[in-house]
Amino acid sequence: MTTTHAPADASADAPDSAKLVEEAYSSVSALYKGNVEDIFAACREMREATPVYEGDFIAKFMNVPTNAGLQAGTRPTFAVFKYQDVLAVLKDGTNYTNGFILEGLGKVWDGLMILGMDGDAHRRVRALLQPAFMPDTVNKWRPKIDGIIRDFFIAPLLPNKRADLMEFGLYFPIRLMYALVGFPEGDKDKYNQYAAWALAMLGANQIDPSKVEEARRQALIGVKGLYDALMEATQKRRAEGAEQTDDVISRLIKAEYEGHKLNDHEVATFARSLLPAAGETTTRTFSSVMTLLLTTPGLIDRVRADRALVNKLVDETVRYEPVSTFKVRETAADVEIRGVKIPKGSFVQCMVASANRDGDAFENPDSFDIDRRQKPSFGFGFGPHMCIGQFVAKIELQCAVNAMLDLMPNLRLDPDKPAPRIEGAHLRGAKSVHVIWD
Amino acid sequence: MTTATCKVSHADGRTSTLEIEHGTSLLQAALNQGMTGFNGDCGGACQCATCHVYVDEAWQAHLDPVDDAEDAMLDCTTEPRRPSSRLACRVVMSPALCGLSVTLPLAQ
Repeated sequence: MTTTHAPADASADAPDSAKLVEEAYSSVSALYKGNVEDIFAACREMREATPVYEGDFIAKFMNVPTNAGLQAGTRPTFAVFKYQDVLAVLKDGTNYTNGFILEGLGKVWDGLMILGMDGDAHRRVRALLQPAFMPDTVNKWRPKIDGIIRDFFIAPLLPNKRADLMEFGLYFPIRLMYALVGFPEGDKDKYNQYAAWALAMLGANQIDPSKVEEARRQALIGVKGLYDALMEATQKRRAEGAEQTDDVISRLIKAEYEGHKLNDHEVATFARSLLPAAGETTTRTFSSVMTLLLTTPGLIDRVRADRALVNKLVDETVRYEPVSTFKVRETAADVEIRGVKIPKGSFVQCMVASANRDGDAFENPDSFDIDRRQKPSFGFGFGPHMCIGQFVAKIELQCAVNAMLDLMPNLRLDPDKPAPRIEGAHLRGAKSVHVIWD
Repeated sequence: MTTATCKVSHADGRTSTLEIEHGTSLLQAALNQGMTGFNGDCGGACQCATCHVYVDEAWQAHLDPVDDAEDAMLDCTTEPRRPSSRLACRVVMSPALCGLSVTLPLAQ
């Protein structure tokens, strides 16, 4: 991605805000790049030899931070590699909890944070938000999402006949999600600033002690900046009345929580805790979807001719190339997995990159095959904390793929540029996807 | 009559009855009426396998067949899958289902 190619609809008036978000994105990519050459090979080896590993696999073999933040390394740590074990841990929110995140990443984020909640409290909060993100609701946004992608992001690229798709891949999820959250539309500079702040919040997870202080300082600027922006948006929405509007802020204003209506502070902190997940993960998934679509022989012709396959393309990408390669939980009781005793208070690292390629769950697990039988994979997580925004993300991806296939005839890789490469130990994706069309 | 009744047998032996509007899923009705035992972690989008029910034999033939998405998810239930296993989010009430009877698994 280059800064000279700002988002198509912002390049004229906002190069600086585009640069800001690009830098924040690249810095998160660098943080999670890690030191593992082939994450799937490393996982395969573990899955076959030591499916329940006693030790901090992520720190030792991947060298990337987790949401445990500074809590990492303070308690016994295990990693599980088999599909059935990852499934069992992720779906059991009673024995495997998330509260530790409040002591790690949550220390910096502050306020209501759904990611770090457990049990009934989590269930109640999730139930508040869930309706805003269900397929029936988000499907209504499809025409708008489709229009924005075609008119604002793809149309300006068309005369060039060549592009790095990540020139718009970083910006369209931000533009769409931040509007759905309820920020006033029309100011792209502000959206980019918000996205950069949200990325800085993710950057608070550092493993290099010399970088912790600066990363936290940047994260706190993001935490404060987003809070102020959300408070302003919340107050404005409350003053105008939230009855007729359906965005996340309006839903939170209308909702009841623990027997009371949320105040502005609660609405703002709660909405804020969703933002770091609302843009860059879709960008990275988009990069992997396009990479696999363009590099798998014959696939693009099939998908172009039969758009029902776009769904399968996205689902298989999420299995084969999960952006988030692991999820961590803490044991709330003594447990045992495959004969390995795991004491209460341990961290369990659920290796999604391993489970999604487990031969006991998927035939020919290392082949990318959009025709395989549907089966849950864990790219969006699983269980009570499963990605609440997954249906929005899928619609965004479907609209983007369809729009490109419609508007960019004979879309193919640019032979004069390096082929895209999906990389990273965690938060994986391709940095660039250079394409040409007729 | 625009509603249908559904008898729910809980894991502890209690039974209760839901009045469900036609076109509404069994899960949505249970959540709306605050009935426990239907977790529905994903909110009813066939993505979590936590609204697992066993449909009483007499009613199985009246339900729409299991589609691919539900079939895949039924392999992930906490209590073992049986031929009578369904997900409550996929059981949409209709006049033909009035009187439906389901049993909740122990784990929910």
